[in-house]
Amino acid sequence: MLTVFQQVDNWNTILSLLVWVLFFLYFFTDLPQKTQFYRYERGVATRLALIEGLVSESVNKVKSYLAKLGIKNVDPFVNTTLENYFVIEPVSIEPIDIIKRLDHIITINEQKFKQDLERIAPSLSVHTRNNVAVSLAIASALYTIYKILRHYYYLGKKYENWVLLMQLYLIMPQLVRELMPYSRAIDGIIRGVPIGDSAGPMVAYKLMSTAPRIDIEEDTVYSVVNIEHRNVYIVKAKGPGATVGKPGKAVAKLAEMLAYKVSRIITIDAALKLEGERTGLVAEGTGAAIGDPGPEKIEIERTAVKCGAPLDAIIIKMGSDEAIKPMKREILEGVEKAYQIVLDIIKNRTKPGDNIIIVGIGNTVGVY
Amino acid sequence: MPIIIIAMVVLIILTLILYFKLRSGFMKSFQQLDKLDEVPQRYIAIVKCYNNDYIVEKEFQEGDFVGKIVGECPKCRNKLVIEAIFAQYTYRKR
Ligand SMILES: [Zn+2]
Repeated sequence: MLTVFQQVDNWNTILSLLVWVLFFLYFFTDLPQKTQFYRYERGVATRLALIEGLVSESVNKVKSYLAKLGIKNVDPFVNTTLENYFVIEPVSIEPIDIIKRLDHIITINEQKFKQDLERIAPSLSVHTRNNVAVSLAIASALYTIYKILRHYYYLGKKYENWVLLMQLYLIMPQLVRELMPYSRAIDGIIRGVPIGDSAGPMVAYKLMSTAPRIDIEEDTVYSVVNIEHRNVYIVKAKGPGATVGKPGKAVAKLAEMLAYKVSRIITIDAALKLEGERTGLVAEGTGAAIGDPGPEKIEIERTAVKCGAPLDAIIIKMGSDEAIKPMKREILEGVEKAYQIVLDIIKNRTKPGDNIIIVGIGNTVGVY
Repeated sequence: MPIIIIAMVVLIILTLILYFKLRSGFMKSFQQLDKLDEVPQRYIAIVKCYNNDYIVEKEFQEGDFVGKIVGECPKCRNKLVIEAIFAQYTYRKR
């Protein structure tokens, strides 16, 4: 051993040669990028497998739930649903009646899906069928995201595009984190537990309480309540199944029924909070608080303009994961606060005898 | 000369430690994020009397929904209704 250490001269030569080789490899070849590429590829592959697990987990949940309800031939139906029912956006360079066209396409797609579901499960109640539909929609959304990610992964691998893989590698952990609640959300929706997005319908429920629900649109109801001598018309999706209804069209119909004598329209909805904001924070603003592709929102705005009615928006803030997970206590506290704000607006900004329309926007799962 | 050898050994150990610690770079914190999962522990239904004189929390049962009439108030014999349903969350490792 000692003799080896004594031959220091030799060691120095070997070391300096090694340093030179490394220097050359590092600066004059693509080796660093190649190794990084390999690491990115492995990282993306593991996370992709994780997302695939989430997809199959949620699909299996829906399948076993359908099987539990006694429906046969579940597999082919669920599998085709995952691939089908995409929507092609209408032409937008010709904006005339684009909302009508968009609404038409969305409605038809929904109907097609509902009819198919009705065909394989005719014995289910509307509410249960709505729960199944929303669970399937969640599974399908997860599957679509998985497909797109896989597409970019294979593309990056195929052309050795390490910039593409690096971007995937960097965004993947965040995506996994954001997608996990989707798989969880299916449990809640199948059991009929209100989710974060049910905050709007919850406020509507608090205002309606026992008043009879009158059907006005597909999956949408309204109630008339007297609050401080004002005629308050409250619109919400028809519960307790998971559906968002057609609140915009309901508002338009209601205003027509009232001969456009509406003095205020108040919309309540769950909204995305910014990172760092508290869950369940309630904020008040102006406009139609509703997050749909457009057709429902524009109906509310047009109605407000037609009636010359101020449009109040009350939002209950939550994270994107909290919106689909079973409702948290903080959101419930936000619901109570939003309810008080609505009562405040009714008392202070309207006169006795006025007609007021209040819309609880959101998925009404678990809320009558 | 032993100083050089000691320095080399120290460098090699340092490199190894850094390698095992930062092998996955910024992925470490992400891995921790992956592991901590927020899951609903129990579902609770708040049951209230129409006359507002009785309020109780109970465990959520299959088929419960907000607005469902679940019985009679022990105080005033009015109807009891589910006023709200919420979930208690717990953190769990995956
Ligand atoms: Zn009572």
